[in-house]
Amino acid sequence: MSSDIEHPVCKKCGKYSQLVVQVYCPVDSSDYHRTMYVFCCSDKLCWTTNEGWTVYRMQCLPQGPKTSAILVSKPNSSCQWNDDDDDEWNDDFKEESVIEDLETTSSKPSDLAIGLESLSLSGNMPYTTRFPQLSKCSTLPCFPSNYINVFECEAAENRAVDDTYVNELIKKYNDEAEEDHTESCRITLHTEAYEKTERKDNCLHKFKKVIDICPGQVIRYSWMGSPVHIKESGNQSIVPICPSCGCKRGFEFQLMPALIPYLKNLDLDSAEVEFGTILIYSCSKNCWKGAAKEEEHIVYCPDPDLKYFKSQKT
Amino acid sequence: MADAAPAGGSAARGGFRGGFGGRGRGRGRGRGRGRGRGRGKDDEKSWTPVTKLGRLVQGGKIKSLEEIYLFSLPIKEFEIIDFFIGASLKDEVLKIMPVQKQTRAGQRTRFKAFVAVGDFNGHVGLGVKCSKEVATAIRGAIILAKLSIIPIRRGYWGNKIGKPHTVPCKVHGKCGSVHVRLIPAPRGTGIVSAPVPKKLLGMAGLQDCYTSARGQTATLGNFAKATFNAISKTYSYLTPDLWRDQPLMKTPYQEYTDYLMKNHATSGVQRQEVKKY
Repeated sequence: MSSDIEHPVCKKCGKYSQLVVQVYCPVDSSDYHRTMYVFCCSDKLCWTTNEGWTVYRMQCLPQGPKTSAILVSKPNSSCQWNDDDDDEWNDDFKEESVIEDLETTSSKPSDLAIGLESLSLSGNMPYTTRFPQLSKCSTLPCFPSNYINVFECEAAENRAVDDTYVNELIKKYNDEAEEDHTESCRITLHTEAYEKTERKDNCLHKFKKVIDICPGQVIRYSWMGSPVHIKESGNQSIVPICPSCGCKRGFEFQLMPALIPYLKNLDLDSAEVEFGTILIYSCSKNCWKGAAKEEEHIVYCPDPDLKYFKSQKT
Repeated sequence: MADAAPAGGSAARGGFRGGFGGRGRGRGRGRGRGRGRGRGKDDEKSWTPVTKLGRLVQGGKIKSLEEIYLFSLPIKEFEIIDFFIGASLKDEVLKIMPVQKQTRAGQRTRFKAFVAVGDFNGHVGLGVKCSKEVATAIRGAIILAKLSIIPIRRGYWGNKIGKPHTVPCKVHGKCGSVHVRLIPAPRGTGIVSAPVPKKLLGMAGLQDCYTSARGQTATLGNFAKATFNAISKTYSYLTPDLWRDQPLMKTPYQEYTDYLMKNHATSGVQRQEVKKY
């Protein structure tokens, strides 16, 4: 199965795409192992559009334990796409070794929060020799790998907030109000009315509030849930139906801006990949016809104030 | 866990499949520092920007707040302000008042907080927030005040000796029925005004000013906003010394202004650095 899969190329320019995230996220209703891979083109003209990004969904039935060994060599900086289909039952195995590795190595684990939990495996990726075609493309750009932690999203109300500074201000205000007797004696004929806060960008404010629950969050996962939008007007994009089964596609997960600092090319000195948020929609019925992979829909949402910056074409 | 994997692969899978929750928490345990991070001291220092401007600021590509004003970029994250002038910024609560709304079940009281922030050297902001609790209202008002920070132009009353100390010309601002007029004053006069605008003008860095107010100044909200409008007009007033067409000046922060110049979309924006008094 793995040998049928080619490294994805950008639909716009034809160059090889680079792996951004891989998320191991089985659905409760099915027995399959399920992984989502998100790729993006390294060309600036491409990653600003939906076509420059690719999402693959791969599934396989759980099988018995595999006896063949996995080649765990040092990660090669050139090619790092690891197809997990054959290795997925060794998730735990790899996971634990990744945890140990990270404890000893200096690579920092990135702290992230996810809506309904999902796992992801980009640790020190073992480079397998099962992709001879990849060895040709030794100049493939790639991002450094990081491990993603999983947290369950908690509501904003439950957070404990540090109010000491605010209480100081209140105390100072009350002290001054007591001294100032003329204020209290004055009869105010006009009472103030409730004032709704006018903001420059209400949508971004709500987006930021969600992020503030856990500032380092990189992925928000919510199977068939609703995404947090960064811009109001960008929601009219129509999500196409699944080509294989004809069912509607629903929201699965989104990439958050905190991921951007991690998407730096090691070898090339090109510009950082930029986005506001990236929404991934997948088949709501999670159809699987035994093909090598299914391609899912991705929506690229740029930064809301992009019009003030020159276009990302240069 | 490691030993369970090859042999009991499917069993482990089954356990895992039982729900994201159990497995995930187990996984998170090893790494889970700060579950649902509360605002600890570490978090205050580490800011993850959400907007592109925030990322540029954090990356040090923009040297000062004035550059953002020069290109009229909207500031949507208050951490950007904190990054530049946070250390010298002082907050002050102007007033906390209960506001009431009549509902079928009686009256619903909420608190309205007015907060002014300023660095006493040319930057001031005003924030108003209503909330069910006083602390929440003040917190929200501080953030709104930081987002509304504006640069103030100061000038001289007479001889141009020493640092600017007063408004450069007579300016006025209006909000609701309240009309506030600011008039330049000689050095040493101090701020001659009612207590509320006095605080605002002091935070702006003005040392001397005469004021004249008209209208229902008892409505604190309108009074404060009218003063704020008046002082924000100082930089939009075309004084004679700006008549001459000045060539684009090289600023000391050329490389960073260059970044914005290269990446900023052209619009009808004044590109010259206005002389900062």
